[in-house]
Amino acid sequence: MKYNFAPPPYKKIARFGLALIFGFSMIISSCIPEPESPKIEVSENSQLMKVREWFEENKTNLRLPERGSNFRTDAQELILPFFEKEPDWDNFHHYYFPDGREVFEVSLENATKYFPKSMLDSFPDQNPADFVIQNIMFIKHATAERFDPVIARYYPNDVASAKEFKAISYDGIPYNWSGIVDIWTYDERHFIGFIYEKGELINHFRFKPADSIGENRIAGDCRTTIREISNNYTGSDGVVVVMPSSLVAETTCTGSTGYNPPGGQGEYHDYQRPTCCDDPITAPPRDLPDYDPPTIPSPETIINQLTNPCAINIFKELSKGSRVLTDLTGLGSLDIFPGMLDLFQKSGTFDYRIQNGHTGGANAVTNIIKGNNVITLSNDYLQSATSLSIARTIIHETVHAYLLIQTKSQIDKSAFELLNKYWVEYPDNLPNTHHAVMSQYILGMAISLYNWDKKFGPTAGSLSFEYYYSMAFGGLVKYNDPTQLIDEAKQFLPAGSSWSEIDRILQNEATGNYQANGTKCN
Amino acid sequence: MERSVIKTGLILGVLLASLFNSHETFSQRKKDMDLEQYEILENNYRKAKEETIQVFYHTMKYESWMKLVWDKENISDKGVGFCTFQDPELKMAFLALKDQIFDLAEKKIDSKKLSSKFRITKNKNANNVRFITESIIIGNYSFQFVRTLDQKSVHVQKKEESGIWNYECGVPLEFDFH
Repeated sequence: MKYNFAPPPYKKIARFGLALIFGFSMIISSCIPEPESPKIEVSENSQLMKVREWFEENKTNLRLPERGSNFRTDAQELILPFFEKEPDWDNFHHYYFPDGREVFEVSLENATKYFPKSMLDSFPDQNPADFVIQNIMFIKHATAERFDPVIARYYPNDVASAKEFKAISYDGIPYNWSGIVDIWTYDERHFIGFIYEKGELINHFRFKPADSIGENRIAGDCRTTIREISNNYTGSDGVVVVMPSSLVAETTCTGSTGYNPPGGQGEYHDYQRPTCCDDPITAPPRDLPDYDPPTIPSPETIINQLTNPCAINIFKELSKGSRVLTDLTGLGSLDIFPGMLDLFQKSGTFDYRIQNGHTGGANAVTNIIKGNNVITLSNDYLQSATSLSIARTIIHETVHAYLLIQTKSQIDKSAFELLNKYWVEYPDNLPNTHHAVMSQYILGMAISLYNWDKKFGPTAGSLSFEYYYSMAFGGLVKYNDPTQLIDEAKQFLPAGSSWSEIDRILQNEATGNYQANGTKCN
Repeated sequence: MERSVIKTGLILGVLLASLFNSHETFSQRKKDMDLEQYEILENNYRKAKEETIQVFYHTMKYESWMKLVWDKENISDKGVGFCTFQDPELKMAFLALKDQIFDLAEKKIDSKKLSSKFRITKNKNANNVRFITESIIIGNYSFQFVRTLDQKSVHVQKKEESGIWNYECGVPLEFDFH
């Protein structure tokens, strides 16, 4: 029997048909969208593990070989007794310095805590150490595969500034926080201190030798005070062990001019924000070659991360509020902006940030990033807009942030109920829901804007109140058609005014053209 | 003989094609939503100002963003989104929901079972198109996840004693404000 291996013609046709159908079906199938493929997320925890491994491997190289062996007795710079650092790896902050270096700031669970003796007065009948936050910052080296640790200590001025670990970090100094951020090298040499008052960085200092009379006044508006450092610590049995305190000289400076310390000694600088912030602080002279402390920028205030100088000023001015200045009898209390910021402050979580950056064409955007309400003002917008327009936008976006926090906290029942009411009318559209609710705040936003302009703005409040009121309509538009005013705001249009007229005012101020009443910010 | 072989080949081909094209032809074989689920869907948008609600033609299965409901940034003892946990049953229902989202099925949506306000589309890039899940009913509460091109949310309804579903609250999960 002979076998013909070539298939008969009809089999070829059938196979061809099958292949064709199979191929066709595969082509169609390939057009069907695949289910969402799982995203590979590099977790912070795995990155932290690398820091931990590095630390365990290198920590013995970072400490003094023998305690006190490198005290520079001639300088008497502040050196605290060295103690082994015990990071609590479960509590950490993760962020980046402005130059891109990655930082892990990890809580130190050591019972030993040092603090200025002045805290004993600020926290009477309490153990001040309980209010000191003591962290270790692992700063990734820009090029080498290593981390440069420094110690950060946060000394609050009073109970109001006492914070939990999560509420304060080097890149997140709380709004309104008063106290000292002290930075030490890993082996406990003083590196630099920053003084905060009401959330504002007002000075920085380094320790220097005290003179024979304990005071070392130098040129400029500076003063040196003797700071007594309490060395008390809480023992493992919970009992506070009283130890002899240390005396150190601390020089702080104010004023607008720089100075040179007499005799060319000392390392003090008058605080001027650009100098401070653009010129990272370098490490003090050291004896140990193995450990090279990093340069560090100033701490960041959590609430204000703007880098545009004009926007920074507007935000600070708005924050101060000026309800006492308003001559709108009976309406002063409607200046809503400061109150809304206070809410974030009182919440204890400080989940509000304002910054400038790229927004994809919008003047500003507000969204939630890692639990923070983040407002981003467009860099392009800040270049073209008047300060009046920028103030309006900051107020508008802050009301968004306020409504977001209300959604979570449910404290303002009226706002919360309104949100749910309008959500039903704008389902799956939170921007429209917010804008509908914000229509109820038009007068409050107008008063905030008016008060700001009256005290700080370009016209000193000389415009008609209707102008500020009109500007408060800015941004209250439909999400899918931003040329249209949201329906709920229409009832509040001033008599005789149309949305198109108001929109023109908003455009004039946003572009800073010749018809704008405000002045350009750039 | 030749014809019967060709015929068999074609039949097999059609069968295979239908098997491989199961995604495209599921509407012929997949389950439809039940009437109560249609009622719930209808109810979510009863008071919506939009004239037309565009909905993708079949429901979504589980997607990872749905877990945002239980993210600590969203949920607390007080509630989640615009939902308050004054009724402990709602809190319990949200907890039970966590396990049930993985069983969400793709079901066809029949425009004939919805009011004229709804428009069913196969164009996933259509303007304002919504991708929805079938509603999950837990006790007296129903939950429906919705995704648009740039926002994500959940709608919650409560069944009254009369058997009527009433809109209870919404949970916005992802959004941007301009």
